[in-house]
Amino acid sequence: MTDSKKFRVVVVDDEWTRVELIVERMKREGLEAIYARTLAEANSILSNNKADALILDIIMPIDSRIKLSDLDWNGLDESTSYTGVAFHNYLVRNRLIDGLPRLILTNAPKDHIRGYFLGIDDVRFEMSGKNISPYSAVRLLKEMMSK
Amino acid sequence: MRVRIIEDDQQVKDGLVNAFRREELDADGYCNVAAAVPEIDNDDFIILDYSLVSNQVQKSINDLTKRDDQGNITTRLVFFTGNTKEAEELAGQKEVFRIIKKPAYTRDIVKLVKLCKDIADFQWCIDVELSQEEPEKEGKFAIISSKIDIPLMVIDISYRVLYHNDAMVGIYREIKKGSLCYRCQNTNNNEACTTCLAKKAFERGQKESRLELKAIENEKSFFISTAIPLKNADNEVYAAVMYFIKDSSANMVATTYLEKFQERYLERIDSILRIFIQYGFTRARYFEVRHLPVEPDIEAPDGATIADRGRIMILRKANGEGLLKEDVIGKRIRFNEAKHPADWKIVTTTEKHPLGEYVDMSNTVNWARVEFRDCNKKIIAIIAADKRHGGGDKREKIGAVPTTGEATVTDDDLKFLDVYHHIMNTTIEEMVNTRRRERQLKDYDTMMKAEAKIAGAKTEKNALSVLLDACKDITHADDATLMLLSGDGKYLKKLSGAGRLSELWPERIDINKFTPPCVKTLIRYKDGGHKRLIIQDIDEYEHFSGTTCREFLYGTLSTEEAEEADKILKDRLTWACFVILYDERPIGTISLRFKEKYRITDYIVKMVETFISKSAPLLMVICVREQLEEYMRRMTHEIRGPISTMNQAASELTEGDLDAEIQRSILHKIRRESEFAYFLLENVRAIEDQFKPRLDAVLDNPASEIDYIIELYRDVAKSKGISITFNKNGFPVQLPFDRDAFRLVINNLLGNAVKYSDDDTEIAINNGIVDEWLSVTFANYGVGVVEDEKEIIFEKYRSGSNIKGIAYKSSGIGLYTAKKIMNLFDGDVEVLQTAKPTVFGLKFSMHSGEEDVK
Repeated sequence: MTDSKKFRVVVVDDEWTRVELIVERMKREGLEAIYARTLAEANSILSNNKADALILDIIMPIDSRIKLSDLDWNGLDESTSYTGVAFHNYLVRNRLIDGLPRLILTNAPKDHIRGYFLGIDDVRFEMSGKNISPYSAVRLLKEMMSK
Repeated sequence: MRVRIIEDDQQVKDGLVNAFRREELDADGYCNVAAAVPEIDNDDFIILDYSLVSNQVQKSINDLTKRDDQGNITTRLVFFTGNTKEAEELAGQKEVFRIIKKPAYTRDIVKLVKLCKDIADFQWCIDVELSQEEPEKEGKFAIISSKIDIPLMVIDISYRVLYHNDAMVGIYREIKKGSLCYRCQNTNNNEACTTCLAKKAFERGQKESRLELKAIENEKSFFISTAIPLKNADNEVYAAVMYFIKDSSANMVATTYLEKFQERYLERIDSILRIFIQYGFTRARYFEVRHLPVEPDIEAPDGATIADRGRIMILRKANGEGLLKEDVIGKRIRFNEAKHPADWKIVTTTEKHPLGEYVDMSNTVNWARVEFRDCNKKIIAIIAADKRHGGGDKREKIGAVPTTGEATVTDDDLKFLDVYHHIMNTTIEEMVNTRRRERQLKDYDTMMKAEAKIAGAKTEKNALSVLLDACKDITHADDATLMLLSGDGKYLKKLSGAGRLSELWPERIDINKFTPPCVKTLIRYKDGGHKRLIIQDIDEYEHFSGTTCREFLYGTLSTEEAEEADKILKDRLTWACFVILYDERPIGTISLRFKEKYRITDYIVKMVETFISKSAPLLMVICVREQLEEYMRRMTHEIRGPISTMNQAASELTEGDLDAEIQRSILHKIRRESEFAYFLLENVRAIEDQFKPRLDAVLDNPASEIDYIIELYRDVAKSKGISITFNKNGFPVQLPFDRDAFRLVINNLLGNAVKYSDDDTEIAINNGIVDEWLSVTFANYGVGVVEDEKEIIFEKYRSGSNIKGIAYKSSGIGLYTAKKIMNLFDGDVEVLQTAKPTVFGLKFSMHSGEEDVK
């Protein structure tokens, strides 16, 4: 376990205002937050092993820089708006987030969505509503980091 | 005559009895054969199901049959059965009058009995006439004759319709007032036919018209035709009963007449075939079975039993203009020389016509078959006619030999066609129209049920599936596939259906990269208004391209795809593709495939296109309903955003570890998000016409309002590296506009600009005054607007087709609301430039009622 101050958390959401409070809270708590507005940006960061944790919104714009066929839809219809799920599964399948704490943000019914994710048995996998308080989000991340 | 119904089901029995009684026929019902036997009398009609006698068939038939003094059977025994073996067993029994295949309509059974009764009555009257006894009344003929259907006569090519001793009797002819018949008018020969001849005779006051009719039949006999006038109460002749008496004296010169007849034989048959052509058939063939007697079952060429039978085949087919084209005349061949299965098809068409002809309507009015039987009900000839849609028939005909020249059909002394022409006309017309009507009723019923299902469908996808199934039912297609065009018009998605042809195409087809014929059709419709593509035969001429279908496929598809399509079409033969339209907008295609060639007729095209167009309004309702549900989903998603952020912000404030500056920043965020939420709700209110701005309001310092909105978007823009500049120079200090409405319009335009701008670009807001109009422009560098969608994007729930991938689905209300509000204040909003930069322009009126603003 590395010192938490050195932790870099990739925050993926196409709307900055939805995560800015969480990012600011992380900064105040000594975490390094890297904001990625697109799946391609997040993919680039994660592929280069520059992150220690991931916060991901599951409804993301389709990114022309990522081939749809590369994503892992795991039973989801390609016309779904839950592109973040496919992106997450792509990361798991390609072992890009092995051992990384993952906090999935969604306003969709969690029980409905949960089954589409790969690796949900991992203790470092959590899902939360998007109205989670920034304090709780950071605490959750830290708990996962310590596992 | 009494009808005896033997039926163990009380309800069915009562139903049948009542049906006959309603037609004023005597009828009684019995629960079993034993109960009925004591009651049976001569001339009775006995109707029962095979299952009631299955244990002792022969005994029951004997018990139920009555005979006259000479041993002739006088009862008519009618069996129902749904089993082929049972039917075959019964067919061999001479006591059995008719076998009716189950299920059967009550009305058809009643019709059969009535027809037999009419014939019996008619024959009785003729008997009276021929035995030179005093006829009961002249009027009796009229009453009886008017009940008889003319097509009855066509069952016998040798005129043997009704018999009395050795005399043939039997044609009832209607005599129309005024003009001569069609044929006599056209040939300019007032006495070309027996009807007109009789008519002339009656007009001259003759009591009967008598002429020689030299008909040919097996015994080489000749007949004298006698016509007896039928008169109404005003003593006007309106019809004639014609009967024939064998003229034995003519036998002396029979050979001469026979030869003469045979000389003109082909011309006569030709004339009959032409009648089919008149009713839209494109091909008619006449098959004559020689060496009588023959069995009715001529279906299987089983060598030994049929080897001696010959037939003559004469073929006429229409050219493209529907005119008769004479290209081949057949010669006699033996059955076992037949090679092409299509020529056997005519004997495998087995839907029964109530009048005795056989008509195949397995798909549409494609095939018609008329059988000619001799007095023993043996088939002696068949006419088979079919309809083909477009294209030529390039198959080699069995026994066909080419000939040239047009045969002139004339009739001089033999009067053969005089009788036949009219009867055939009537028969064919009734046959075709009856079946067409029946089929149309069934198809309309299918369509109505499907429409009801479509109306109740919860999704557009379900509705289209119902549409596809109904099209398949109506057309009897072997395979059907529905491809749905995506909202952005870029790809087709296979919605449902299966079949080898559809296996060629992937689930999603990019119409710009991959162009199977159905996509090509769609593109052509969009470009040139073509609604369908029909390939009946791979070698057929293709209407759009001016090439054959094969050439078209190879020109449209990749070689590999075309080879596969070619192979499949060779097997499957017919393929039709129809474009589905919503409000004149193509939204997909329906492909229908048939295992045989030429299954698409004008009727099918008409029915499918009618159904698609009738379903369109219902589909539109479903589409709107689905859009509304989708709109609710999107709005919920959008409204959750600011509320979540406010929730987060409130949580942060309660943590108590924040310094004053951070607290102020969070409060600012709460203010910003509450404004976004407020704008969203105002947009929803505007959609519902609940947003009521003050039309007489005057807005002070409107530039500051724009500044305020820019400030709201500052953080969002910063996150994308976007800078927003606002040139206030010359901006008026007042505008005749409502403040809330102004903020909403500016928010919607600036919000879009931020959302759809590329990263690290600039959004420029400028203004200018032209002819007392204030113009405010929003220029940004981003996804842009598709040229063809400059107007569409201002419609309710509509978004640009190019924004997918830029953001989550647009709610499609921002620009609609902006335009609606601008129009309320006599202004407008429009796309001034579609790209690099994309420029939206607001046009404000500077006039407010009577007073100009500053």
